[in-house]
Amino acid sequence: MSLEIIKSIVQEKFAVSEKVTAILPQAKVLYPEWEKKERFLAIVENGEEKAVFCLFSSCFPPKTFSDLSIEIILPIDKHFKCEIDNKPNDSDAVLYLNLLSRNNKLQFEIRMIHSNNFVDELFHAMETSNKSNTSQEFSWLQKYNVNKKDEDDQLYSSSIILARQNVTINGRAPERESKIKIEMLMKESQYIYTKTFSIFTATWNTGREDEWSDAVLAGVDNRDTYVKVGQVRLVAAHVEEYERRNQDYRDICSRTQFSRPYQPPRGIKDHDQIYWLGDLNYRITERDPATVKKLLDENNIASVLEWDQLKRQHTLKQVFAGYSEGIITFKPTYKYDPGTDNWDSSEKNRAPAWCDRIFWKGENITQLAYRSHPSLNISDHKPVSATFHSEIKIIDQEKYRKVYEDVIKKLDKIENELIPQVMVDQTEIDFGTVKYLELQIRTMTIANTGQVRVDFEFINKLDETSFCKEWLIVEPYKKSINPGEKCDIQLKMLVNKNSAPKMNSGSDQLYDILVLHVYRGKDIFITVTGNYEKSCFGTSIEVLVNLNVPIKEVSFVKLIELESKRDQCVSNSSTYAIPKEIWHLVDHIYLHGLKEPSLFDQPGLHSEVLLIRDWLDSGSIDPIPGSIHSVAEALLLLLASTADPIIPYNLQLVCLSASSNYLQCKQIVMQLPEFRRNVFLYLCQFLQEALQYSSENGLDAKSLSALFGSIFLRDIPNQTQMETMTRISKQTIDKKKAHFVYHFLVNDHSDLIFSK
Amino acid sequence: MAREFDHLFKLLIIGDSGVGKSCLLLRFADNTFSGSYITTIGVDFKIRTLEINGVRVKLQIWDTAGQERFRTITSTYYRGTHGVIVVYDVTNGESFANVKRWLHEIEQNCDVVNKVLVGNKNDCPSRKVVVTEDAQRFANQMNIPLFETSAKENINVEEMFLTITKMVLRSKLEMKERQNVTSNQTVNLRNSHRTKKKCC
Repeated sequence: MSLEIIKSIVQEKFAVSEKVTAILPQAKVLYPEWEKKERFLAIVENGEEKAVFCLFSSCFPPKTFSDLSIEIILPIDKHFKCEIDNKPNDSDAVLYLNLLSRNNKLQFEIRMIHSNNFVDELFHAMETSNKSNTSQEFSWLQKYNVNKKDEDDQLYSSSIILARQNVTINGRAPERESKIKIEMLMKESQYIYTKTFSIFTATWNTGREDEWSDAVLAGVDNRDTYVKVGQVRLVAAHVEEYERRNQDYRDICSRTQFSRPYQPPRGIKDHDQIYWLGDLNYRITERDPATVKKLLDENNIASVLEWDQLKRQHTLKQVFAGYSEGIITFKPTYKYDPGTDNWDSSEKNRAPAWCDRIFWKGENITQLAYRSHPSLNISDHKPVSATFHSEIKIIDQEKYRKVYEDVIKKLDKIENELIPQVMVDQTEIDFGTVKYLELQIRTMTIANTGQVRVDFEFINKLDETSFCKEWLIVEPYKKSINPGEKCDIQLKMLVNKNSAPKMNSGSDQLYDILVLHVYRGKDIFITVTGNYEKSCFGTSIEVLVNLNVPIKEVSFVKLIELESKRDQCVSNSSTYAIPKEIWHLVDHIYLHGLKEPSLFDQPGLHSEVLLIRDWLDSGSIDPIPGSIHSVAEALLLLLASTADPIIPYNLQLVCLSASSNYLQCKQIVMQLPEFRRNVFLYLCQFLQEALQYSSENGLDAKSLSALFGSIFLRDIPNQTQMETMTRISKQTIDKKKAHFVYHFLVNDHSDLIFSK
Repeated sequence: MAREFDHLFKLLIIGDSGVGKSCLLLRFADNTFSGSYITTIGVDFKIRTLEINGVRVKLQIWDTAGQERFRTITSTYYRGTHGVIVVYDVTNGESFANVKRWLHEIEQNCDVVNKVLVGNKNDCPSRKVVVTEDAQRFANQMNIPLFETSAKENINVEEMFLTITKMVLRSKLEMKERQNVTSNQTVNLRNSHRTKKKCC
């Protein structure tokens, strides 16, 4: 992907008035010690003002602007500084880019191939900014700093703007760690104070180092501790070989490493303040010794200095780039006849030179003196010394701790705010009265009240296989909601033939607690309740024959008791032979609908079925409401909903294998529980009757036996198990069921009725 | 390498409805207090990072619904908990009486876990009905540290959370030590086993 395309993607991240003038991909943050992932640097222009943005991309190259997140913003104002360095060892391809803004420093490692245009733009921007006379507000940057309301932060005034949305949560440790570092950096002024130190430096090439250091140690204040560091001499001693000395300098820079416990070693350049002193061995060239000595005798030091190799190389930035040296007001420190102040009188007759020098680098250093000490004459060199005042940043540990704690608290706060948050409009949903097969719908609303996307899902409670009871449907049960948006959830309650028997027997009730789980967030408990209205639908045949009042007038307690004892139910003087509800429906069809075309074929109206349900449950004295087809459908539904099937599940397999043999089938029917046998025979008798009017009602024994076969021989709840058990397909099973019933629709089975 | 924390601990706040569980959490995590009462219907959590003797501990503190009807569900959130904060209301005797039930709940659902007992709303002497002595006696009996706090007045909240965190940290470090001892023994056993073989 070309840089231009990336640039256009980066541009999309910004407002129209904000123009991305240059970008720099693959910039690695070296300081503050950070996640060493690559960032993008972009120079963004708004009117007269420009700023450097550091962006993180979740993929490289970024596909859309949403892959990018803004991490740091440095306004290019009068406090903005930029330094570029070669990386030691790798001078060809990698550069160090230091960006400084007031006291804040950021260091990036960048690839030279990308840097040209960006660096040009950066310097151009700095130039413009320095020339600018208008006051710089940078108000357009404030929108990138969501935190600006925090009064204690003064984020903008500290020049680094920390884009808040990047303080991510949940274990993305390096991310959070680097935020802590940046926040601490921004608040440096709150825990750092500067103290001025006096620094004395001196160099003397005596050829007798031990004696020299003993003398130094004797001279220093013995109340303090001192460390003797290595002594270095740039050895290329010959006059012309300044190039080799330059190379020595570069080698020292790249090779010197100061080891630190448990941390990567530091190079020379990684220090804030550097003092560099010693016999650097640079000479005076292009002038013969006699001329030099003559000028020096005339005290014309300045004109001799013009020929100093080191001054020249320093000016050309070939050596000690970025370092300073004080003004030399002393005579060359080399070469003397030892023990005298006389220039070298040996055969070599060396030209005088300022071999011994002191350089420094760093902010807040003031040189107080730079001189030589000619009276010390045991060597062919004279000593050179310099004194400095240096302001050193010192951390106030107590204040640091306090600031650190505040930073941690602030990040915790942000992290807490970034936990997905939702609110629901209700946590208790009451469906009121719920009737059999009558769908009830309630709506609840989930609102995303947090700052991040919410992924919610209704989850299973411990040891449960579904998140809600079978009589409830929740739609949608999982979804994502964007911040500020809402989602309506429909809760549908339906008691059908599966759940109604459990309501009647008291093994279940319309009460459930749903766990609404927010991914990476909280759980909310939603309580769902309803009052189930008892109905003959879903009640067992054995219970219905015991009820000589409408079911509505029976208490739940009584119903539960009857259901629990239904296995022991036997006929007595107060029981019906068959449930009165079945009788009502059949009788109605018998009286009014035997000749109805498409009987048991045309579906009824759902609303009429519900009216018929109420009519049966309340024992109304009005005529049965609804059409014949609705009554027929109600009958089928009632038969299909009874707590137990007409032919018990345990007899089903026998029925299927006996289905081709009428005699065997009859024997099975004789084994049916009493009331269910009554219902079976009663219905078969009725259906035989209905078949006599087949020319009008269009019934035929085959399709009728298929229909009632599936009702009398209800599918075993785990049908697949049945299929594997018998190794026969559902189709064959259904055929056998129909076969079984068929016998009783075409044969005279009055013997069974009379045998009772 | 940068690390966010050395330990991540899960703390759980339980106790009767209305004793101030959510307020304690809000005070500790956000340093805020709201007088209006909103029942927690579910479980919610907040995080806070502490530094204890140079060890960075991240706390994930779970606040639970105290209502009786949610007890079965909330008990499932006890899993993986390092420390439990059992809260009662010093102005409500019943909530103190129910502490036993809550402790029983912990026993049923947690293995070994650190506990603290917290009497919240300790900011109005005239309304206080659970006297410190009784609570302290009970706490001693149960061998659980007692804290009387006020989320409203920010009394003892920080100390209480700090104590339970330290307790959890200590347990964790002790366990680690024990594991080290055991693993050393394993090495020893193996060594002796080898020597045996040689002998044969």
